[in-house]
Amino acid sequence: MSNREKIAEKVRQWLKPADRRRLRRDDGGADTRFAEGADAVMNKRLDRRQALKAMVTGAAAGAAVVQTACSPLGGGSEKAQLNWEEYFKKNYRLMTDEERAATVTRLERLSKLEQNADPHIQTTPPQKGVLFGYAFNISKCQGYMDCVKACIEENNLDRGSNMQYIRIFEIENGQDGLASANGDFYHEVPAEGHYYLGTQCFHCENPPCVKVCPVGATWKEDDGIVVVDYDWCIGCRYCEAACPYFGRRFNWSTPQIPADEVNQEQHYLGNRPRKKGVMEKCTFCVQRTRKGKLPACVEACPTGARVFGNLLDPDSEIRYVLANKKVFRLKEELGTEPKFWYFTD
Amino acid sequence: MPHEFFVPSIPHHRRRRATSLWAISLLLLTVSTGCVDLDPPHPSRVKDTIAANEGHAEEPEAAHLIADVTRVPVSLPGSVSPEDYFVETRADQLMHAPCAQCHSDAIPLENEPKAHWDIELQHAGSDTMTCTTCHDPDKHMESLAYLKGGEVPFDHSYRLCGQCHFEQLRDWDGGSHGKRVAAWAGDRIVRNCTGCHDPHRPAFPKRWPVHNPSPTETRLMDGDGHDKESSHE
Amino acid sequence: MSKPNPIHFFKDAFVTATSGSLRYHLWMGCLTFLMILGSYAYWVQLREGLVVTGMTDHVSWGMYISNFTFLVGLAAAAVMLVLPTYILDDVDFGRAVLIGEGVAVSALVMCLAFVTVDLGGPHRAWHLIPKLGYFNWPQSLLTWDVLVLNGYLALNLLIPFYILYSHYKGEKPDKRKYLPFVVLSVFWAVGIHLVTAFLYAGLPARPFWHNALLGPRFLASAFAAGPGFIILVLGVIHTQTAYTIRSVIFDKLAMITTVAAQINLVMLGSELFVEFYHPTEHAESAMYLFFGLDGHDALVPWIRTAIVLNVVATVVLSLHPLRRRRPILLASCALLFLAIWIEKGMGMVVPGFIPGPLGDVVDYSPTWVEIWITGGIWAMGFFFLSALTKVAIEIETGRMVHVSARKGGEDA
Repeated sequence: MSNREKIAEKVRQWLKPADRRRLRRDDGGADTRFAEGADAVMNKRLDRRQALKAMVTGAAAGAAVVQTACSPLGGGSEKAQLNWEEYFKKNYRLMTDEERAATVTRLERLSKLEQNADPHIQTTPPQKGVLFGYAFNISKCQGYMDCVKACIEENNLDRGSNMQYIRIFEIENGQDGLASANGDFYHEVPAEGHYYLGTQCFHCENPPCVKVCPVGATWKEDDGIVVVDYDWCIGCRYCEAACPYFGRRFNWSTPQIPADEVNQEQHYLGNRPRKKGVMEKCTFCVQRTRKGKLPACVEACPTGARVFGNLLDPDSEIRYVLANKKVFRLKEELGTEPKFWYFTD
Repeated sequence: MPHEFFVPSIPHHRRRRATSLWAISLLLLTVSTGCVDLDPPHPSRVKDTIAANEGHAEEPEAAHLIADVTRVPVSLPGSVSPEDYFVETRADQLMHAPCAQCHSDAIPLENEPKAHWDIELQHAGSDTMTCTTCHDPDKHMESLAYLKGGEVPFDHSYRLCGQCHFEQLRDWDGGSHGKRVAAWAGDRIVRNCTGCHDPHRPAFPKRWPVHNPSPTETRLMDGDGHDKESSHE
Repeated sequence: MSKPNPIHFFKDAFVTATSGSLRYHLWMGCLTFLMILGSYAYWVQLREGLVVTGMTDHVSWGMYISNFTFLVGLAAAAVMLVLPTYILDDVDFGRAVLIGEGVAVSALVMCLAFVTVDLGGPHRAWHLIPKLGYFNWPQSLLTWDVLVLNGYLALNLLIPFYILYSHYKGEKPDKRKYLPFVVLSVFWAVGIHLVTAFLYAGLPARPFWHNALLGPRFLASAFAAGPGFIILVLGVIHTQTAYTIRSVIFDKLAMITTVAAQINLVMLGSELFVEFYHPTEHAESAMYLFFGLDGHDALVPWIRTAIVLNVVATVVLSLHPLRRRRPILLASCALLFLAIWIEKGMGMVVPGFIPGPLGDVVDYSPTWVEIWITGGIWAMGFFFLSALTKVAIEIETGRMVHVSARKGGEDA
């Protein structure tokens, strides 16, 4: 069996029965047709990568030997092999469905081997006719931070650095703008004579962060969600400098999450645990919202200050807000067109 | 030769070359401005995106997400609500109601709220509201009562609140007030007014935030920032 | 007698670079020691992550990118020597230009090193390789920077190599062969610095950078600091080696430095006027930089020092009698270099992040890891510069020649 055949065979094994059925249906033929199709895809796409692989095969062999030698149980070689394949995978956007399935299988297996965890990593694509939008009622928010807590738990945020996607600002009545805002408050809320304004990634229609990424590791999906491929990011932090809303976070060290607190329902582009040295950000809880659920922050909000929905559905709540309320967005003059509006009662 | 006076340093053949260079540049400029239809760069706007793609939603299947939510169809007097529009039930969550659980006879509440002494009404002023503004165990022991006396089932208490809070009712109906439950897709199920507000003291209480903010001053890893850290539970 | 080939050249160059006086060895030894310290610090950073630096989500670029920005300018400044020497046939610069290109190469190596140490995932840097990875060109200015910096590095290696190799063979370099590349490198040099400026100026999120003057100011400050640095290097070479530099070269370089420093000051004044005549919200970064904001003033002493040094150096350089005196010239070039290093590094990169987009004012100061790594990379730059300069000088003074080209047949 040639190398390519082996890979195609492996891909086929990795696929879940449902995916295999779906692919068979797409191919319009029998299972063998898929194998040929995948083989053709592999032939074409792997050439370049195999060149790179060949360049460092010696190093690989060495690494594998070391790994095996260091692991008394001999489980290291599978891990090394998987990590090796992970290292040479593509940008998620360029992956075929089969390649996506393959990497998810690898990642799930790796978490089993490394953390003894059983995550389910989705690759749910955007739905047609869905464009997510968000509205925040500054008359309603009381600064309880339930959203922050829910976000941390849902999205497997680093507990070590107390990373948070959402920030709630306490602003004195009669003041506008964030210049006089207090983003560090921790006292009984709501404070007399103050209002509260929350920020997170605004999923701009013209995201400056996407434009500047040198390796295309961040992009806007068809449903308007700006995502990061954590395995493709090189950690240059240009996007963090480019974001006018402080919507992005960097993993300055290895994220720490207690094993029993890890949310195992994950999305490749969403809340799967990150590594050190990569960017991350709010994804409108892509692992939830693409399945029809509300984002964790919206669900957790006790005051109903957060409204979320499909901008392309004229009957949605978000569209009601846009049509009937006085709305504004932050820094509209920058032309970023956030899909995150503020409104008052 | 007057020309020599103005451009004395360029020899004749070079000058000719310079002239032809100018001619070529001019020609190129004319051609390029004529052929290239330059649009001014402008950012794409959300409202244009919406206008271009509106109304072909393929929403995800959400039936299983809301299967467990007990609900009743919303019905607002004087309007027809969509078929997929529900409100969370209220009656099944009440501990004391209906009144007939304890009381077999009509009780005049105005004078004797002794049985419910623990309820302190903080809703509008005491000169505006009293127990009987909403409750009428005299005639409606199974439900709430309109100001004019009609019956309002507990599940539809939004109608009762909407008597005064008509603006909130309108926004609740539209979706900018209140809270949708479980899923943004599929059937629309919203919280009842009483799902968020305690009807006897509807203002949100003052309390501590459930989580501390991420400190901007120091990172926790730096060591000296530990005083800023509190448990994330 | 074998025909000369590049292998002989590199072998001889290696021998030349690794042999020398005791003082040369001591110097190179010190640099090596600093490089080892830097490597250790980098190992710590790789192990722990960038958490060991002073950077945060608020100030997400610090010392590394500051130095990178400054050094791009230094590299670009080599053009000030290239332009007159190769194109305008100004023989005066002939002896200095190879040194200038050596400075450019060393500065570029340092630039690439600074970018690499700033990456969170340097092992994933292959994602930047076009075709193999995903090269987001032309959208991302960082990809432009990757292209122009590597291209400029190639040009600045190629041209001196050709010239030195020709001399090594005892031949006269063919002008027709290298002139096109020289012309290209002149435009390229302006390009690398403008592109680097656009990297910042293209970010509307950071009003401190988002202005059209940034590019021109980068050029002006680079053409002050660059030739100033080359004057210093030439001063050292003139006194320490047999390779004498004529006064006229110093005079011409000093003139270039002076004019650029004056233009830079004018631009600084223009910026200060716009920021402070009627301060808007967008002037807050400048406010932070020059006066401090909300009790945070980590950069104030730095920038004030830089301004004072800058003004003093420029005034001294502008006075002919002072500028003509070698020690004063060297001293004021050193001051100017230091001033621009502060102003364009920490004084340009860091305040762009303060206050943050949501109004947060968070100070930044480098940690020992950053300082050691930075020191290590500078040491590496000087290491390269010393080695390259030594080889160039030995070739140009006729001491490193291929056996076939030696005169008098004494090797027979």
